[in-house]
Amino acid sequence: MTRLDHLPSELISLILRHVSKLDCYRCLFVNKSFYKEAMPLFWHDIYIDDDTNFTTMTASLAAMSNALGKCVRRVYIMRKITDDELLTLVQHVPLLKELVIYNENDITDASFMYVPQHVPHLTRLSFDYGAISHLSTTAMGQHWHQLRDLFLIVYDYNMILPVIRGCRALETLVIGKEHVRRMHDFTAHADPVLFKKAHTSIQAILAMPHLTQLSVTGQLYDCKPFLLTPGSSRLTALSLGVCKKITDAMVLALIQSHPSLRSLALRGSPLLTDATLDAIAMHLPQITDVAINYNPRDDKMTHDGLRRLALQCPQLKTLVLTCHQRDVPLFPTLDETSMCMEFVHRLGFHHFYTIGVYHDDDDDGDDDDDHDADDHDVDDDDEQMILSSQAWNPTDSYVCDWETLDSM
Amino acid sequence: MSNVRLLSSDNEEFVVQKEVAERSVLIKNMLEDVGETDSAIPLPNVTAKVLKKVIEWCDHHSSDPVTTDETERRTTDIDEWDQKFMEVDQETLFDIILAANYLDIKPLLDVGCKTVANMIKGKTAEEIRKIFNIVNDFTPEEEAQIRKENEWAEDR
Repeated sequence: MTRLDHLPSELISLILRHVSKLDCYRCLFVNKSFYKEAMPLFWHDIYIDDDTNFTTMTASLAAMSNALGKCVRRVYIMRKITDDELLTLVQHVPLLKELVIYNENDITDASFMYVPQHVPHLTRLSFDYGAISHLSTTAMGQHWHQLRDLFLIVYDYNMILPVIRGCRALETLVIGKEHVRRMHDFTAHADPVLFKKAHTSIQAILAMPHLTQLSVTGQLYDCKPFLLTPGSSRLTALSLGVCKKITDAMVLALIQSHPSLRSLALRGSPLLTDATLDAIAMHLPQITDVAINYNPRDDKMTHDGLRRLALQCPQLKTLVLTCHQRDVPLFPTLDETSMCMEFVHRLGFHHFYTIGVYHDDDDDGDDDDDHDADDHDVDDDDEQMILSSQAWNPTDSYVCDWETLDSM
Repeated sequence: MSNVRLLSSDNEEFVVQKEVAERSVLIKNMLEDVGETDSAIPLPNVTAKVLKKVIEWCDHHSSDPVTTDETERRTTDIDEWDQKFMEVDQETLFDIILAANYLDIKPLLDVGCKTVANMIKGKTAEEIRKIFNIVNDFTPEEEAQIRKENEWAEDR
């Protein structure tokens, strides 16, 4: 008779991949063969938050020459952490692949410049907040040859140069995220030296052999540094920060220079009109995600423009409209509701589709990443009221400011 | 539509459509290697009882697109037909999993693993042992050791 504990160990492991971390913990105690399979899964991801006893955790990681530490592939740091703690941690997780550091923390070069040498196999770093300098990015460039995804705040483009030189496997680069105010106006033409530096850095970034997704937030004077000679771009996703002076003509040049784009975000660019929407529709018919500045008080972008975009881009599944002025009703007429419905109807009910609308009263256009739309509070009752009248399937990512709709 | 003959370990022969049999990567590769053949393919690791179930599954899923998308496969939902299909005694369930592994039918292996995972979810170690008739082979000292090395995460 075949029993669970007769299955080969790799199948037990496959089964345990489908249970939660808590279930995995309980499985450690079932018997020895379960322990053997559950242990690496249980230690695969570590979440460090306020409830984590850091000392007991690192003691376990370190025991038997990092036996448990060698199972760790992902570390998520969700609380304030010091240089000493970070250094202790990375010394025991030599095979770490992903490191995500959220929240304010006290991390400086004193620890971070030694992190790359302890975890040389890292493929993903997300570091939202910290006070590191080129000393750390130099170490990153020296050791992280396998790094594919990097989310990093940078204070100037010099800081990113060692990464561009060393981390040649990079596929996704997000720089400047979250801390727009602390960034300099890199491309300000008022300072030709700074502008030239920024231009050079961005061109060097775009020349990286595997880079396909780029997001640069912060103040940008224009998008000239992002233009490439035709045929040389591999970018499939591009997101630009606050670029107040960018015009339709510049967007057209930008789009023509990156014909493979499937995702384009130009959230901080209030001058753009329907001409930009039409340019996207004409040159990027395969686009799936568009995020754009939208103000119903002016006539720059119209419903017809948005409709044409939706009709001509059959794969469009996410459209995020950002308005930087509070108290402007995003949908001044009920027509917007029918517009939403028409989009949904024309694109087919089977399409996953998002119209994300949120107010952003931050006049510097503090940029958001795509997930912010998901975080937006949606009144459940309103949402259900609208959605139940629809014959389509809402998904978690479906976001619409129904409250605004309702108050019209 | 050509047919393929499959021979179970207990010498029962099954005639199935080629595209149904080719849900099994093992059989697909064998057919590619030998080309057109009239002789039955022997499957010495699968009994007739289990092979019948596996063919039933492959037949129902013969037109499914082949998905390699990891995230899609990671979800724990099992569709209704598969749930019904997996309502079998434990022995058959594990035999199906073993057969899916041997025959290299990843989606069936996934459904089998998810079914067992659902039986594990929310249970204590003692309950898991009881459900699956597993003997605890830890000494109290070893158990205490495991508790100690994982204590930082115990309250989650």
